[in-house]
Amino acid sequence: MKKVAIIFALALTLGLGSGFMGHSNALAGQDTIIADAMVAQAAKSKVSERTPAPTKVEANKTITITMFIIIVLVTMYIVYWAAQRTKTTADFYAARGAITGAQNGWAIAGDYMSAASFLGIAGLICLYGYDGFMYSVGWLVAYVTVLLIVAEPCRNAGKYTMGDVLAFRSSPRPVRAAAAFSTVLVSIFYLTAQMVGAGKLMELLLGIPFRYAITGVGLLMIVYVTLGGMIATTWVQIIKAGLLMTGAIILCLLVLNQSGFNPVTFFHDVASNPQIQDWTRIQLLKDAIPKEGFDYGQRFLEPGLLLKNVWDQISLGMALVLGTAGMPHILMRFFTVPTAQAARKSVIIAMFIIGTFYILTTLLGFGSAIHVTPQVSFAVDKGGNMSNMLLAQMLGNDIYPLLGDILLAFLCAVAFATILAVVSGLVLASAAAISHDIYVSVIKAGRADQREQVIAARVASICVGAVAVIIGILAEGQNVAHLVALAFAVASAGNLPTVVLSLFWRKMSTAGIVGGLVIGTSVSILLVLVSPNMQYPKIIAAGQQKIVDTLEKKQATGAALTEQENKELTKAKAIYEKNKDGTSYIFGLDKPLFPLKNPGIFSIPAGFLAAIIFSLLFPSKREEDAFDELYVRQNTGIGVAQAIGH
Amino acid sequence: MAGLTAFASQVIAREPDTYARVLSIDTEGVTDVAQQSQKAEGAKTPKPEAWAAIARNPKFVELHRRKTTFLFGWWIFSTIYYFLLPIGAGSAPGFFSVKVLGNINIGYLFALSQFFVSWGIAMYYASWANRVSDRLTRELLDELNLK
Repeated sequence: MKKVAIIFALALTLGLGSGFMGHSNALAGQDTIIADAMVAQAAKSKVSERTPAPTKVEANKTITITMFIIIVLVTMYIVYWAAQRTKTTADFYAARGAITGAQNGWAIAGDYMSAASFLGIAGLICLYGYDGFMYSVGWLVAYVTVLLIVAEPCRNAGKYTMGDVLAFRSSPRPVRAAAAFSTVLVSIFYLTAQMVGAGKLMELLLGIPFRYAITGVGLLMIVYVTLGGMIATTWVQIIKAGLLMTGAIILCLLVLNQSGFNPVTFFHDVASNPQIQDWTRIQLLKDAIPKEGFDYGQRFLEPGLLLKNVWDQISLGMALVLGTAGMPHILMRFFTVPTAQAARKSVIIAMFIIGTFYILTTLLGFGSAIHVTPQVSFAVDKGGNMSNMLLAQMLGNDIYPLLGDILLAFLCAVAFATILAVVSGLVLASAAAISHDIYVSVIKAGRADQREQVIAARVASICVGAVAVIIGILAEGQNVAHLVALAFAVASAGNLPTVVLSLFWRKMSTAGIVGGLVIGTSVSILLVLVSPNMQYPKIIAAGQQKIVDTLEKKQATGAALTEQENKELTKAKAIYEKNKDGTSYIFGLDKPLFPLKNPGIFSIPAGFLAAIIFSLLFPSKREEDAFDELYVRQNTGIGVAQAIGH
Repeated sequence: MAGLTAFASQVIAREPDTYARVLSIDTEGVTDVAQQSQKAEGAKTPKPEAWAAIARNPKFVELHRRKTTFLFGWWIFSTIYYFLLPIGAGSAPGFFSVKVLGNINIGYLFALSQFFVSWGIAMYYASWANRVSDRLTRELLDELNLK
C-alpha cells in the first residue's frame, strides 16, 4: 500500500511537470482537481486482494533483448535476400509488382497499425472507457474510402508514386514537385511522431536512453529500405502484422479466460469493479461525494468521458476517412500488386486484419481497466500507453511466474517490430517521391538510366532516414501527438482532393493540382499552428497559478503543508515564472485562435475548393482531352503500367 | 521460412525479358506509357486518339455508370453511418446508454456494428465487382480485342 502511494505521488509530481504531453492534454488545466483527488485516492486506496498490481513495467532484459535480436536477425536475413533481388526501380519501389493480394493485405495492415494503435488505443480505453473504443472506429472505416474510391484507379493509373497518378495528364514538372513536397511533408510529420514514440517506448521498457533508441531504430530502417527496398519493407510489414495479431490474440484469450469467455460477464466485471467506479467518479467526473444511486461503473461504458467536443470528433473523422486514402505510404502499396483485382483483394484482407485488431483492442483496454486498473495504468504512464504491457505481465504471472516475463518481452518485441515496419514504409514513400518524382522527372527530365535511378533512390532513403533520426532526437520532450493529426490533415486536405479530382473530373488541370496541394497543405498546417494542439505558456501559467493559490490558501489557514505539497508549490511557482510571459510557437499567441484540435472540417473543403477554382481559372484543353485515356484506363486497367508485364 | 522460399522461387521464375519492357517504359516517363506498352505488347493497346472512342463505347458507358452509382452510393452510405457515431454520442448520450444485454449498451453495440458494416460493404463490393464490373470490363476488352 505504501508503494502504491509513493507511485501515485511520483506520478503526481511528474504529471505536474509534464502535464502537457500527449493525451494528457485532456487533463491539463484540471491538474489541481486531479491532484487533490489523487492524494485522497492514494491515502485510502486498498491494494486489490486478488492480484498484486504491478506498479511499473519491468521487462526481463535477457528475454526481451533475445527476442529483439531474433527479430533483427530474421529481418536482416530478409534484407540480405531482398537486396540480391533489388536491381531495378521496379524492384526498389514496387517489389516488381509481384506481391500477391493476400501478402499485400497483410503488408498494408503492417504499414498502417502503428505503436499508437497497439498501445495508445488500449490505453485510452483503459483510462476513459467507451470513448477510447469510439476513437478507434474511424481508423477502420477509413478503409472503405480506400477500397471504393482510390485503390483500384490508383493501381491502374499509377506506377510507383502518388506523383505518377497526378502527373498522368498534367504537366509533370510542377505537379511532381508539388506531389513530392506534400508526400515528404506528410511522411516527415508521421515519421517524427513515430520516432519520438519509439524512443520513449524503448526508454520506458528497457531503459535504453532516448537518443540511442532513436539512432538504433533509424539505422535499422535505413538498412532495410536502402538495401532491401520495397521487397524487404513488404516482408518486414507482413511479419510485423503477424506478430501483432499473435500478441493481441494471446492476450485477449487470457483476458476472456478471466471472465469465462462470456462477454456479458466481461462487461459486468468492468461495471462492477470498485477501482473503475472510483476512477470514473473521482478522476473523470470529479464527484468528491458519490451521487446517490449513480452507477459509476456503468458510466465508464458510456460516451463523453474523453471526447467532449463533437465538432472536433467530426473533424477528426473527416481527416481519417479521407486522409488514410491520401497517405502516400498506403497508396504506394497498391503499386506492388499486378492488377486492380489484387489491389481490391488486398484492401479487403487488410480491413479484416485491422478491424479484428481494433475489436481485440477493446477487450484488451477494458481488460486492463479490470485487472491493471486505470489508477495503476495512469500512474505508470499518463497516456495509459503501458496498459497492454502491464496486463500481459500480470495475467502471465497469474499462470506461471516466468510466463508474464516472456509475454511482456514478446509484446516489447512486437512494439519494436511495429515501429520498424511503419517507419520503413514512410521512409520508402518519401525516398520514392524524392528520387522518382524530383530527381528523375523534375531535375533530369526523365533522362536517367536504371542504375542511376536506383542509386538516387538509395541515396534518398539514407538522407530521409538520417533526417528522421535528427528530427527525432531534436524533438525529445516535445509534444508530438499533434503531428499524427497533422499528417492526416495534410493527406486529407492536400493529397486526397487532388488525387480524386484528377481521376474523376475531366476539367482538373495542372493549376488545380498544384493549387489544391499547396492550399490544402498550408491551410492544414496554419490551422494546427493556431489550434489547441500547440503549447500556450500563458495557459500553462494559469494552471500552475491555481495550484499555487490552492496550496497557499491552505498555508494561510495555518495548516502545515506536507513535504510533498511543499515540493509541488516550489515546482508550480517555477513553472509559472517560466511560462507567465511566454507565447505560442511561431505565431506568438496567448490562446488558440482556432478552437479544434483537428483542422479537417475547414481544411478539407479548402483543399477541394482550391483545386476546383484553380482548375476553372486555368483550364487546359490538352489535359481535358487526355481525360478519356485516363478514365478508360483507371476503370478498365488497359495498358496498366506494371512493374512487370505478363 | 517455407513461405519465404516459395516467394523467392516465384520471384526468380519471372522471365528476364520482361525486364527489358519495364526498362523501356521506365525511362520514357509515364505519359508515354500508352505508346510504350503498344510497342512492348505488340499493338495490343489502342492509339491515344482511340481512347475517346472507347470512352463512348456503350459497354464502357454502362460500366462507368454502374461503377459510379455503386461506388459513390456505398461510400456515401458508409460515411453517413460512421458520422452517426460521434454525432449520436454527442447529442443522444442517453440513447447510447440504454442497456441491451447485461451491462452492454446500445453505444457499444453501435460502435461494434461499424466494423461489421464496413466489412459487409467490403464483401458486398467484392462479390458485386466479380459479378458486374469485372465481367463488363472483360466483355469490353473482348469487344475491343485487347485481351
